[in-house]
Amino acid sequence: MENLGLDYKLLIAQVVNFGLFFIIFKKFIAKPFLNLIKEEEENEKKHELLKSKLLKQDEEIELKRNTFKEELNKKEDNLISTARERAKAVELKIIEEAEEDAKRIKKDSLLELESEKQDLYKQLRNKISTLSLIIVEKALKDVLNEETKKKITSAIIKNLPKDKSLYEN
Amino acid sequence: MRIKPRLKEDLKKFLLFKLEEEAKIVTLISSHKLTIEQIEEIKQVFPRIKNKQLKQEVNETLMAGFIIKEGSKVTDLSLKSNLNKIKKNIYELT
Repeated sequence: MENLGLDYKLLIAQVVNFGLFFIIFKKFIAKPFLNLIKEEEENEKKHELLKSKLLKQDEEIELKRNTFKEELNKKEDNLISTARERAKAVELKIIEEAEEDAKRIKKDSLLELESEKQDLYKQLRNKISTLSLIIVEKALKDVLNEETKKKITSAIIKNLPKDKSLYEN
Repeated sequence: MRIKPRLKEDLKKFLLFKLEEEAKIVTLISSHKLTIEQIEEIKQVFPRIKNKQLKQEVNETLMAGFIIKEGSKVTDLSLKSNLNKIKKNIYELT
């Protein structure tokens, strides 16, 4: 065997060396490394699980969001339609009130106009009577002299009515 | 402001005295000076002024006729008052 170039001692030493190396490698390097890989795999699995859970939750949330959005839209539509109805009712009420106000103002104006007309008519009557009196007084002042005044006074005395209450204050 | 009762009484007496004094005097207001005959005629028509003191006044604005004033009592027989009555009638008629 030695002729073939094989050294048994070296071979045994190498085998022992390899065995030692294998033992040391297995115990101190391969095992922790495998444990690390296993941990990483477990972590990976956990992450995957968590990811799937999160995706599911996301889907649920999206679904809820959509449902909520639909409900919100419906409520919004309802509110808008209610507001429109109310606005229409308010508009009608305002128009009605404005019409009533206009009628009242018109009526008041007519009454005021009539009152002013009556006042003017009264003033006119008063002016006519005052003017008539002024004309008569002026004419009488021109005509009346002492003698005429005496005659008129005598005539008044003679023609006094029996009932004195007619000219007494 | 509260008036003292004594002062109030005095004022009342004074006013009553004044009214009595005024009631004794008769004022005859006319547009011109009245003749004695006219005054007598007036006295005959108004016998209550016969025994009272007569005061004569002239007011040309009356135009004609006369006014008799006895205290607060006034008898207006002037042409001016008649014209005013006519004015009132015209106002009521128009």
